[in-house]
Amino acid sequence: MRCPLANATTGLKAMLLSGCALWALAAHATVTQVRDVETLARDSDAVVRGTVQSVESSWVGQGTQKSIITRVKIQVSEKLKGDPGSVAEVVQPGGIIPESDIGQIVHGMPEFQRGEEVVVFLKRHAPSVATFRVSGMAQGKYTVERTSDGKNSFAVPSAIDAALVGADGLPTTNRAKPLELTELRKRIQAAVTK
Amino acid sequence: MIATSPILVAIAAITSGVGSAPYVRSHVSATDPNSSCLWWAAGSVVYNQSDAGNPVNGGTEFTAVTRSWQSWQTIQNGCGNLTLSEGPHLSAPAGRTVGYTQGSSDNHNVVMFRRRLCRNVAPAGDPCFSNFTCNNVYDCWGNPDTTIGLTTTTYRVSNGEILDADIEFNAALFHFTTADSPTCSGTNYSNCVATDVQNTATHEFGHSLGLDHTMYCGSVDGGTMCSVMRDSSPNGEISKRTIDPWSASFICDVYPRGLPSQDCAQVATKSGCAAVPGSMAWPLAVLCIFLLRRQTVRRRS
Repeated sequence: MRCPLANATTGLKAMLLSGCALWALAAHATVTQVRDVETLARDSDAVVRGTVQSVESSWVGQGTQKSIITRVKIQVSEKLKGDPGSVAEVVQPGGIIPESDIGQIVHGMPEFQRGEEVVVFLKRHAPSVATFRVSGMAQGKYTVERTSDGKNSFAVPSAIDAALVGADGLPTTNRAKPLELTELRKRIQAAVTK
Repeated sequence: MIATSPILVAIAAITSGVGSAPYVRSHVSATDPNSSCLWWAAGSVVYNQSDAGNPVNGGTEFTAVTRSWQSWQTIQNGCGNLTLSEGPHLSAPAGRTVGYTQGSSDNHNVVMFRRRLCRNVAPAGDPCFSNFTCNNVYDCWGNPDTTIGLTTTTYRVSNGEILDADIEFNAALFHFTTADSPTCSGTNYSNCVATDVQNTATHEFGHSLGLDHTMYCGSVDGGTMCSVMRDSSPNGEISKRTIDPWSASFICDVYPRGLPSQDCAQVATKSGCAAVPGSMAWPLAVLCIFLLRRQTVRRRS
C-alpha cells in the first residue's frame, strides 16, 4: 500500500506517515527479533537505495512438490554500504504465479512492487552467492515516499508480517518509524563507519 | 465544542487501533487490503505430523501438536463448516517437504521440526541457497535464526481459497518443551517451559486457517485475556494453548456451519460497519461512528 502523501499538507504528512506505518504493521505472523537501523546496517552485506526493476515469481524444487520464490531486481542508485553491483538481486520465498492462479505466502517477507523506490538492507544467501535476502525480513525494507513538490523524501518502514521480540525474547513495541531519507542515510552511514 | 475532521478521526483510529481488532484475517496480498482473504473451502482439512518429531521431547511433542489442532476443531464442532483431523505421521520425503503439488489431490499439510541449520549442512555455494530450497533438499532450517516458526500457505490467487499449509518449527535454535510449568531458567530445559510446543502450534494452526496477528486483549469472566493470535510469545508462555473468544468468533464468521466459507468482503457486508474484519475494522468503525454522529447532528439541527 502506498502512503497518500501527494497532496498532503506538511502538518498532515507526519501524521499520515505515522498512520501508514502503523497501518502497514497491521499484519504479523512470524515471530522474529527486532532490529534497529544501526543493527541492520552492521549485519548487512550491502545497503542500497534503488528502484525496483522487476519482480518475478517462479516455481522451484525437486520432484512434484514445489515452492514459489520471488526474484526482485533493484536498480541501484545509491550505495550506502557494500557493492552489490548496479543491479542487486533479492531472492525470497513466496509469491504469486498468475498463470497458475496460485500464490504462496511466507509470513514475514517484504513485498516489492515494480517502480517502487526503496532502501534495502541486504544479506548474501551464502558467502559465495551473488543473490541476497532482505536482512531482518521485512524490517530491512523501507519505501521512499516523496512529497509532491519533491522537496522532502521519507523512508517508510515496510509492512512487517511478523511479531517482534527483543534480544531477551520478550515482545517489544519498538517498531521502526518513518524517517526523513536524509536521517536514515545519516544513521546508516554512522553505523557502518563505526 | 472541539471540532474534529473525518481524516483526523481516521488517522487517530489508525494510530491507536491497527492490529487491535478482535481478529485479523490474512490477505492474498499483504499490501492490498482489497485483495481476497484466505479461507479453506468447507469440508475436511487433514494435518500430518512428520514422523521425525522433535526427539528431545520424547514423543510428547506429537500429543502437544495434536491438542493444538483439536482446540480449533472444538470450535468448529460448535459453529464451523470445517472438519480438522490428523492423518498418519509421514516419513520423508513427504513428511519433510514444504510446498505444493499443482493439480494433485495428494498434498499434505505437514507439521515438522527442523533440527539443523542449512548453513551447517548444505555446502557453501549450493544453488539451494539462492533458490530457497535448502530446507527441503537438506532437511534444515533456512529461515532467519530469530524466527521460531513459519507457516507457508498456498492459496488460489483469484479468490483466496487455501490449498495447502505447511508448518515448520525452528528446533535448531529454540528449545521446544511440553511441560506445564515453571518457566525454564538458565540452560536447563527439562520439566519446565521454554518455547511451548502447544502454545506455538495453536498459534500457527490459527495462521493455517487464515488468521493473522492481532494485539487484542479483552475482558473474559472478569479477567483479561489476550488473543491466541497476539504477536508475542515470550519464553514460558502457555496461555495460547487456550483459544480466545474472538479467534473463536473468526471460525464462526468465516466458516459458518451449513454455509460456504466466507471471503472478507462477504463477512464485511453481513452487518454493515460492525462486521468489518481485519486490520481495517477499527479505523472504519470509527469513521462509521463519526459519520453516523454527523448525520444525527444534522438531523437535529
